[in-house]
Amino acid sequence: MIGGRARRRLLEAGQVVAILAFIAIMLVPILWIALAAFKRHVDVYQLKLVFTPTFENFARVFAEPYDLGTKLFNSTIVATVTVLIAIPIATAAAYAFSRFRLRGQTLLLVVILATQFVPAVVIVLPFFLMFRDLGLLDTLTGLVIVNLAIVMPFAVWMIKGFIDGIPVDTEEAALVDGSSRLQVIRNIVLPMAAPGLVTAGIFCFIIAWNEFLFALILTSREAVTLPIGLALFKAEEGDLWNLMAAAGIIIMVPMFVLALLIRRHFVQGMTMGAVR
Amino acid sequence: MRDRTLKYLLVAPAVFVVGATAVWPLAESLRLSMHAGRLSRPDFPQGFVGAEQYAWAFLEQPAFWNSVGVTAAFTFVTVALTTLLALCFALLLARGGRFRSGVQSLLILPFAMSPALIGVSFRFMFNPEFGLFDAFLGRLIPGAADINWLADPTMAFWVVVIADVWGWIPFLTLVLIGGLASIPRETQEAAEIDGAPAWKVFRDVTLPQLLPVLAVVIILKAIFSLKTFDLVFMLTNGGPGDATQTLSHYVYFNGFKYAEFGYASAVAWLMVIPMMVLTYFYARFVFDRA
Amino acid sequence: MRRIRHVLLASGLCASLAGAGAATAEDLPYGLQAGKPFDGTTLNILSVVTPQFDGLKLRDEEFTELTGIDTEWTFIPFGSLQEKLTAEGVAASGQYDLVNYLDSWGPPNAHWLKSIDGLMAEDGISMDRYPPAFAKSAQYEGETKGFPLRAHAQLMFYRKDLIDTPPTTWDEVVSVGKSLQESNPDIAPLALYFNNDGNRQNLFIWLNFLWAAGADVFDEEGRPAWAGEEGLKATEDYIALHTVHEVTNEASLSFVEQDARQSFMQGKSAMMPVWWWAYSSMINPEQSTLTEEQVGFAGMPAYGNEAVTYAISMPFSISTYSKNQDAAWEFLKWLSNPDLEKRNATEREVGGETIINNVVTHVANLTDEDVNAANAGIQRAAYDSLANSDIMPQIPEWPEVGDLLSSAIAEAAAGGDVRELMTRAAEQATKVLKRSGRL
Repeated sequence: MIGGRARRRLLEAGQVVAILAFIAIMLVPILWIALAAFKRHVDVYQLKLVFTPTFENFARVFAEPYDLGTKLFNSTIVATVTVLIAIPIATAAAYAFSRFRLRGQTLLLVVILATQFVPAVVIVLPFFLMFRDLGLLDTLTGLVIVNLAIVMPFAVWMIKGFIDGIPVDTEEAALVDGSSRLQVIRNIVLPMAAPGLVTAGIFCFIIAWNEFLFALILTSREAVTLPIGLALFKAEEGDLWNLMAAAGIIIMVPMFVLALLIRRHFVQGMTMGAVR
Repeated sequence: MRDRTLKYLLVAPAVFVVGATAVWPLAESLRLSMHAGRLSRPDFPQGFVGAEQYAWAFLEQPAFWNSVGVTAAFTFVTVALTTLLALCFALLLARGGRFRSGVQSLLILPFAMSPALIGVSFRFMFNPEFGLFDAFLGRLIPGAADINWLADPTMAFWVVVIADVWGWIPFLTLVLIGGLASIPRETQEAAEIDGAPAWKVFRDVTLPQLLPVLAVVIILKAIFSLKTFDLVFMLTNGGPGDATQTLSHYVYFNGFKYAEFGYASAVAWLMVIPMMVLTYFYARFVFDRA
Repeated sequence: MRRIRHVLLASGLCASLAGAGAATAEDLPYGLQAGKPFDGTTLNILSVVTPQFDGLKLRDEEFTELTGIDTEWTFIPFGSLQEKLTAEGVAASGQYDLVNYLDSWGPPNAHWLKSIDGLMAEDGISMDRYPPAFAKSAQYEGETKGFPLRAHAQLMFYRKDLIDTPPTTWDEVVSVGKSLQESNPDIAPLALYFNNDGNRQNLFIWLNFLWAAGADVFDEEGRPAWAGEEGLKATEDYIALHTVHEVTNEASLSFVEQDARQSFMQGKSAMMPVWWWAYSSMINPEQSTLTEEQVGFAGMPAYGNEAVTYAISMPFSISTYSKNQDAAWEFLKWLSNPDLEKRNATEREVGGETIINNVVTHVANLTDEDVNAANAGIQRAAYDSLANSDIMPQIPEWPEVGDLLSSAIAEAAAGGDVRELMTRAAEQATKVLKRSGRL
């Protein structure tokens, strides 16, 4: 019969093994793709761990006709502008929802919430036609508009969750002291909510960065973003895996960096305060 | 400025954006669904056809029902698997300490991968001739290397499921870890002191308190599963045949490959209904806590 | 109007020539208009990515010199070209003056692709300069929409180090395959591609069987005709290669065309029916483990008494939304001229870049000695293959109907009942065609 402490150590060891297996499953695909990005085309078809690496794939994806550099630029612009517009608007609304009681508030919040769950494919066709008539097809402006549609609900809900978590007392004290509501927002709430705003901003940035369907349908030459770049590697001869992998890395790396920055906070935002 | 006016002013821009960019296109989509809407003929969207496209979907198109079936099966399986696995991993990782904390940080990495990228990667890895998973599984289970993963309808479905579950586990695990962390230790310790075995503590003390978060997780995942497009598009493109054609993909195919925009809009609108049902439950859970 | 202009130009030039005694600028080659009437125009061209068109682009300064028209090429990889084309049709903005597309995408877009029969007649160009199947692929409902600049014929590629005489019928394919299984068990005899990934590739060989049996996809009224007795038998024999005779690579069920090509190039399959352009990659050490001594090609095998092959093309057309349609026609005339095509298939270097291309579509070039000499005689083999060949039906509903067929074939190869699947596909296809008003 195994003694109590030994048993606990066995259990702990078992858990560590399970965790390691889990994390391996999570990370191996990423590492494999990363490896493929450095292989020549003919090496890709052999399962080699050791091979002569080449940077040529990265050079090729930035050249014509793939032109990943332009797509990288487009993605950056679209995601940044979307966030810069979405966060202030969302913050204003979130503050109002949190601190005030509006007529029809519940309904408004639910509607905002509901649009978050509409599949993009339902609304992409009307957008396509509307943009055609407005001349917004294949423009960065058009992409910003659709990405706003996608991220706004997330932003409102996440920021509302953060503001809910800030105690009202400081604001009330300032109001009593004679500050106006706007001053209170600017001087007290914003600084305190700043980490939450940054988190929401980064979360929305990632969503806009990875957005696929709208970019696929609404762009064709000028405004193509990075994820669509992936689809470009289906050539007449077939898939160019090594190039796809290189493009994949270029897409992933910025997102990894940003995601690590917000790891602590986004969970709260997604569950909208259901998790305290 | 009075608070009374201010609060509406603060909310107005957000409501406007949501209205213009989500509510309006939804209405437009409904309008389109009642027109012939063929892109391959001039004078788009041609004439008004009422509910004919909906009738075509329900009565004459086995492919539509196939998509419904695929989507339903996919949603059910992925929600169940992801929730179960995420719960297990959350329990494993919740305890804290440097090792577990480090692993939690690593979990972020798969989350930042877009579904499209995951689709491409898994297609690469399940290729029967040079895929990593194919080779690995082939070594583990003799005969597995002979399986044509993406050509067999059943296997292809499971590959899509695996890819989706793989992509969502990190996120759901982190959410559940947060949920576990918010359960007061005292309730669990009290039960442990009373001599209850670990699994009983879990079942009778932890689980009930975790239920609200679990419910949120399940509903969220269900909604995202119903929406699945990017993954399917890049991984199997609906194939083989239409074995993995989710509703989103079916709408895309009919709209952009067959140029039947009217019909595609009708099917797209049919998708909205389960969304609304799920959203109602989601809102209930979230609001009841507030 | 143009005729008047021609006459005026001609007489004006004659007059100045008589005075200046300069060389005759009047006779520009390829029917191009003299006098640079479109000088200063810039044309936007939408094209697929391929070395063949790279080679054309690198030479188009010659065109600019002759006409003063500038060109802007936009190369889109094949995987995204169809969406781009659809978007262009919807946007109706005339962003591109000339567009390149896969022939089966022509019919849904035909309503905005310019019919050029009239222009061709004026300039004395006839579609007879192309093999019938290629010509047909650029036509829609009797009207010519463009020129098939890039078109392909099917060939049977095989390991000539393992097979002495290539099979001439599908029965021979089976017997060669079986003896290969005895003598070289670690190489699969035949790589086919039954997978259905939305590109209808598993129909390419099926059509060989269907047509040789005397059946067709649609009958004269446009109704599905593949489920008649001959059609069903032909389909069964096609599937039987995999399910009954088992001479195919086991993975053929999951192969799409590129996987089958990879299988051949990695030395895992000994025979592979595919497009002629695959040859250059098969002997390229960067992409294949095989050498020139190992790769042979022959015409497609016959089914029964006949070999009927499937041809595919990527034509160039003028967009009716373009604001420079006349200038675009000038460019199309130059782009499609046989001399340029010949140089593009024989000269391996242009402007410092290496271009390896064997695609020519003019009958004159397919049978030309120099072209064949530079490309191991593959053009001649293709020309023979094209003697009896056809294309997929050119109707807008083809993608949907084709997908139904492709799905049925994939299921049949996986072990389903061939007759039932094909009959069901015919019923559903009839419904689709009725709904779209074609039947």
